[in-house]
Amino acid sequence: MKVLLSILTAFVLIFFLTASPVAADYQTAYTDYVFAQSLYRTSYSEYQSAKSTFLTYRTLASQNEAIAKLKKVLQDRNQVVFTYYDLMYEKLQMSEGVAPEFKTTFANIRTSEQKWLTDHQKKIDAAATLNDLNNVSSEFESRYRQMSSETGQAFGAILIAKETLLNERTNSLANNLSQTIATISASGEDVSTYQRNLITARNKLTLYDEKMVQVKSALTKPIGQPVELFRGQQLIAEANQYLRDTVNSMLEIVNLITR
Amino acid sequence: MAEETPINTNPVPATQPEVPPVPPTPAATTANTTNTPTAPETQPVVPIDQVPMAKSHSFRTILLIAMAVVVVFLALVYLLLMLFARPKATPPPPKVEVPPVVVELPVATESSKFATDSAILKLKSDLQTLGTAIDTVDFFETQILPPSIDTKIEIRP
Repeated sequence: MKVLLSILTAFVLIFFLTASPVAADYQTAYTDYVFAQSLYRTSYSEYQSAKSTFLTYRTLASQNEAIAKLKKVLQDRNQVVFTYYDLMYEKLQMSEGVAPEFKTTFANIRTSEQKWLTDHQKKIDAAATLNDLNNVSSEFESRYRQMSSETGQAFGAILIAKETLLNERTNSLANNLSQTIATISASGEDVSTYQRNLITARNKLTLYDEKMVQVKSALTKPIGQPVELFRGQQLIAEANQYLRDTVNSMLEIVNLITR
Repeated sequence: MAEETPINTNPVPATQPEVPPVPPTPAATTANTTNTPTAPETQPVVPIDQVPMAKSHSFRTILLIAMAVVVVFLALVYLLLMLFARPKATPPPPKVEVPPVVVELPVATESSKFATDSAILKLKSDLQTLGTAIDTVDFFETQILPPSIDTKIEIRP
């Protein structure tokens, strides 16, 4: 019995030690973010309705309703951004290839922005008039430009890291292939076709590098400037095609060698 | 070349003896001025096959009958053409060339000596894995897209 218990305990310990806490944290952050978004969508719809009623009838009852709905939607909007910082932080932690310095910097930014959002939440809770709520909302609007830029950069860093990893693997295999061709050449075989094809493949990698410069320009902006997310995604897709072409060319060479 | 003799289509002889004009009698002259010449009372006997048909049908009826005959004739010609001319017009069936049966004898092909090289096979496998990774990479990351929020939330009375 004791033996069985000890084996079971060992299995449980191994399970908890090997399970990825980062992935679990990411899933939790994502669930929280989705929930916050759904709350925001509901309260935004109610806010629009209350605003319309108040601007139409301008009664005391409709004004009180408008204040309540405005306060609720501002709180929920705050919460969406708060949870989005958590989500981006967790995603960065689990993303391979992102520089540790960038992760540390973003962690500090997240702490700072979440502190601002907590203070902002207090201001929303304290505001009791439409005018005060409007002022609090304007504060958020001016702050959100910076927040959008920060989270956009994190998003871009994740995409760039993915593509960079693929590029490193491609370069590594290109070097392996080059060495293999050199070995074949040493054995006395004609390798001129392989070498010519390898040069073509490497030329594609040069085009990839040029495209990645454009990607970095679109996704990496000074804080406060908006990140060109959509353009960056398109450019990465184009760069990825060059990687695909390079790998295909290398596969053709290997097929020629083994034929 | 033989010289063609002109065919005389005129039934009347080329040279006819001239008949001297008979001077009209005074009675005939007076009759000519007062009475029209009348047919002789007794008509000559005409064979039955030369008797002209009585004009029982109008011109239009004859025309219609003629047209119908022409149409029937044309239809017959067309049918004949369809029956006999068409097979000639159709192109001959294409010749089906049966390719010669080539019996391939097993030939001992010399495969590359690197075909079973473990290092090259590993390189090939790595390239295939990388190709799949490149194809399946997610650039859109829909889960972490920025939230779509309204930054201008306000109610200004």
